[in-house]
Amino acid sequence: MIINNKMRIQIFVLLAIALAPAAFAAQSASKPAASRPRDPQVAHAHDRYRSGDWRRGERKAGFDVGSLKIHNFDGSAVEVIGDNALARRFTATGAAKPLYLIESNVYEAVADAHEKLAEILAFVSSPGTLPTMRASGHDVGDIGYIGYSGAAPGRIAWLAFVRGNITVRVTNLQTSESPAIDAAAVAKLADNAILAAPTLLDTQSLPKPAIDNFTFDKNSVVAGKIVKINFSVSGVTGEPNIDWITGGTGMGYVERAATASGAPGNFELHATGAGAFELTARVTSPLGVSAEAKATIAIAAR
Amino acid sequence: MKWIGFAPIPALMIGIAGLALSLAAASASTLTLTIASVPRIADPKLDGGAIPIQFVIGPDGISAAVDITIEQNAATVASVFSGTLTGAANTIVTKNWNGKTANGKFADPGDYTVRIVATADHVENQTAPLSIVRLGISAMEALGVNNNDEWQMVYFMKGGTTYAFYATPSVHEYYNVNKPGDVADLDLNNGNPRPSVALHEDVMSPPLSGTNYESYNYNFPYCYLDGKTPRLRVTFGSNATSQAGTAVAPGYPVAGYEIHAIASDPNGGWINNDTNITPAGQSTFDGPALPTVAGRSDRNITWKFEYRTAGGGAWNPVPGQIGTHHRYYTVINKPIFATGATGTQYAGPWVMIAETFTQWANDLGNAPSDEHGVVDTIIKGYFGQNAGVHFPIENFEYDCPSMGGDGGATHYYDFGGNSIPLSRVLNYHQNGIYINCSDCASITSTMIAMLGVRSVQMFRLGGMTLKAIWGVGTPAYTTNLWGPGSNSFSYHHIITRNGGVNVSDACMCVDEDGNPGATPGVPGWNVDRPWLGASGYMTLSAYNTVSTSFDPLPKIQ
Repeated sequence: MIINNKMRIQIFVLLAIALAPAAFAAQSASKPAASRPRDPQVAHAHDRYRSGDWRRGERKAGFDVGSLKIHNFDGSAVEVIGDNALARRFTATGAAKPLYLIESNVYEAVADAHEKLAEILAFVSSPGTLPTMRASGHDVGDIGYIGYSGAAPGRIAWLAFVRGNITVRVTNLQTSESPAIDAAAVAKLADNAILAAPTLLDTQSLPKPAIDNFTFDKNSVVAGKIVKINFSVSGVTGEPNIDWITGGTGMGYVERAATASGAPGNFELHATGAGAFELTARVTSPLGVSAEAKATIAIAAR
Repeated sequence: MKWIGFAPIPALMIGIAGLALSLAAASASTLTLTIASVPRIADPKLDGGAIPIQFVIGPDGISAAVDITIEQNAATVASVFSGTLTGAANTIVTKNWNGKTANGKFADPGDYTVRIVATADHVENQTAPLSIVRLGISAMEALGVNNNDEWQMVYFMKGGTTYAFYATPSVHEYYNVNKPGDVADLDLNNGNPRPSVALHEDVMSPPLSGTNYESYNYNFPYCYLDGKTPRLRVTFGSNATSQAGTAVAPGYPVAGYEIHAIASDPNGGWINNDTNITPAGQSTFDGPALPTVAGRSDRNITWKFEYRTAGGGAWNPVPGQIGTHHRYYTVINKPIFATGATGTQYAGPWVMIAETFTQWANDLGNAPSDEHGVVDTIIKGYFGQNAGVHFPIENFEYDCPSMGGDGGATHYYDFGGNSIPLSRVLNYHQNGIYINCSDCASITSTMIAMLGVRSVQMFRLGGMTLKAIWGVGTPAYTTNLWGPGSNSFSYHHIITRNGGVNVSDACMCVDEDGNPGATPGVPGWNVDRPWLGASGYMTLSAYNTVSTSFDPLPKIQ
């Protein structure tokens, strides 16, 4: 189960140390694109777009898409759409539907970001190649490409660019409308936000959140019952997103307990089906860097 | 009580409640009173659970003052009737007690006495024992009759704005108990019966209580293999609310008696062999078989209770009933998802997809009883723009310049993760209305597979020099997809369920008018269409020989 509900950790010290810790393991959430066998179609895109010539910029600590502000637009809450991947929508103030979707992927390596861009380009059905952003007069990213809309001359339907180790895609969700600010300008704002992030030295890894404690309060629970989760995170500036991903044969979901004061209570597992249950906590920092940890518990039949 | 004789009157041999008594012929002028029937066990909080008190006043024409009262421990707690009745030796008089005492509240579970006093030329005074119980259902759990024929269902939103996967609780899909701080599971705090939980009909989000999931009162749909017997394991409520506002035991078992539950819906009875239910106990019911097609069927189940003397004898009805409304979705085979994928989103079919599929099948006039039927419904329903379904799913449009899009870019499918954000698709197309072939193939393959179609793969095609095609959400066939004279694909994504021998494609139709390279066209639906041959997909869609490869079923987000 993935709970992209932006559960906020604000007071980490409130989360208790485990009394009866279950299995706990921290692991990397990153799955570099360049580490996978290259698909022939993607390889062809590398060739068509001469990816070997793409500029390789400095690695950055991430992209805080949640801090992005666009004049006269309202930004939605940040969504975690995968490991090290965030999305956010922007709606013109007063409008009913969002106009822009910004999706970002943060990688350890520049090559991984380039691979992601190549994948985006590879899965465009029309046979030609897309123009670069620079060829279109937009100084955005190390390399970027534009898909123009047929709705009006020069109107951008979507664009994708790489800045260092980060891939960003901006999609115009209402191409039939004449936007007050075009997608390239939005991309420039995103690019500037990335440039403002700390540069990583070659020896530095992405600043992953640290999941300091993740255990169930008991080793087993009966289906239909609730068990407290001991959980604490550090190494994050700002409010991380937490996703809970279920696994195993058992079933359940995670919520914060309701409290009389209305303040966020403890995380709790609501066990809804018997079996071995594995829970993965994925914590994603505002910069879009994820860390994962797992804990297990036995859910017994009633 | 005055017994004049024991000559039975057949029409008045009442046995419905265990107090069958012979009615006797009365003398011409002397008052007689005979109790015909009073239920030995009753629950006035059931729907229609008023307690019928039946008796006969004789002889014909006599005028008698009649008082009917309910007593407990020799004290009168309720007056049911007080008035004058005219004797009719062959007529049963029925007066119903609504189960409420003089204070207007339902009587607590326990033992009572029904007293009838008739006064004319003399006083007749008769009594009957009555046990008030509280019967009801606090939980129902769907069970498979065999392995792999019942699954949980999945929601993908939490309220209207947050993405979160939620599987219907396998421990009980129907739950109706008191929240913390409330008194009892069977009753509200004021003593009135807790109503049955209405079926949850939202297809995107489960019910919430504040910002959290509702965890005390819900009624989720079930999912079964088509044609199978639905099985419910019912848990009976364990306590009731007393007149004093406290939790009390439900008053049964009643010494010397057994109680069982019976269930039926318009399709027939639900089989259950238990003879003695207990508070908080469980009993399993097998219902009439579900339809042999994929889709939805609703069952309105009527629950009744009967009692008998312990160890045997005829069953007698407890007056009243409970009604619960249930929704069953049926699938063709076990739901199938991406190999190795973990997460709640894979617990079973998504409610919205099962419901959308049902609507498409109805609108198309399909009764999908096999895998081909499911594929046909999904492909034609997804594409829309036909007699049954007027619009494509989510009003999608193929991403091409003439529609305001661009060059056929992927807007949902993530190749690197081989995943499709189905939640964003179904939540009012959060990534926009434009889609390309990979979007269509990944969406339809996951939908088809989760409804039980086996061996579904995405089928990736190489470059294609196109003939006339009709793209999803576009108005007509074209030979100028990207602009004048530009009509080719750098690649194309479709689906197959038999290793590429036959293919399906909800992204576009080929032209079956005999001249597939020119417009206009006659819609050629790509539902299990042969890949090769004169009417094959490759021949009708492309001028060139098209290379192929396979992609596995995508993961779902």
